[in-house]
Amino acid sequence: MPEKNENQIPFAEINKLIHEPARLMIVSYLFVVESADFTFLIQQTGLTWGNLSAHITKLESAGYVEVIKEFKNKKPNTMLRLTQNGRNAFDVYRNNMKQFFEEIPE
Amino acid sequence: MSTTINFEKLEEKVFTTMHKDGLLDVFIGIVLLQFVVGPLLTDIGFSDFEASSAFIPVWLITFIAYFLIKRFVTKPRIGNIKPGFKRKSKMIKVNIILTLILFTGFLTGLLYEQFADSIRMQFPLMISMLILAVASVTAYYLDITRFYYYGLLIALGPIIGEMLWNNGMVSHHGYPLVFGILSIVLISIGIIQFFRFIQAYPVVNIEE
Repeated sequence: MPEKNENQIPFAEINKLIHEPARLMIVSYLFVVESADFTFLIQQTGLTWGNLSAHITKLESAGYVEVIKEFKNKKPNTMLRLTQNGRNAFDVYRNNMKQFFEEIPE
Repeated sequence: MSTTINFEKLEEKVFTTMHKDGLLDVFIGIVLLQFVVGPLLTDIGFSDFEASSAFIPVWLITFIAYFLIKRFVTKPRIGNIKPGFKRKSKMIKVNIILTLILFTGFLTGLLYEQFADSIRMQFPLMISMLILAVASVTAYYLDITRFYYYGLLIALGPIIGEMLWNNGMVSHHGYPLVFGILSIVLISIGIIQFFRFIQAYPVVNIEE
């Protein structure tokens, strides 16, 4: 394992689970609201139901997203919420990315 | 810093998407119709009270229709969100400020009853200021830019109407003409927006 150089850009510190474009979109939208349902995320991200569902499963497994099953007007409605763990991970990701771009020379 | 601004814009986008269906515009347009139809009803023998009351069922039907269309047409297309903490506190602020403004409006109405002769000329201006205040507060806190323009146009209504009436060009303080035009404009914008919304957001099939 090579020694860590102080001048090296910390790629390894970038959260790859969040960094994937579709998941980054999902997490960004969930970050600015308390919770949102599948319909909302499909319309905003342009992902298909299957695709979105797969990404949500990955985020849920990591403990970043909480899936809340509820009934709205007697119909099942699934709300998605970014957990505190997910919010913290996203904050760290944002700071790392910011630092990463700041360190790239002009 | 730029990160913060982008997320604020994203939050604004999320919230304003919920009002892209044009229903609010149609609703305000129908509310304005009262100032068109009300004065004309007095011409055919209705008292002021009857002419004003006649609009209560219209408002009620419009209000119910607004919620039914939101529930059965808008929501299945756009989905549901629960706003974040910042937006919730913004909503609380807007409700408090609007209540204060409407209370001021109520006091203005009482003042008009007592000093009708001495403040007759200033009354349209006071009403305009109130309308502008309500629209601007709503536009600012809800991030709906077009409400600034609506507020300005509606606020100009009583002033322009009064000017036309003073010159003997129109009846009923010019309200039927001025608010009639405004009402048609708002309802038309709302209907166009509604059909654009329907096209832009098809119904999504979710496998719950």
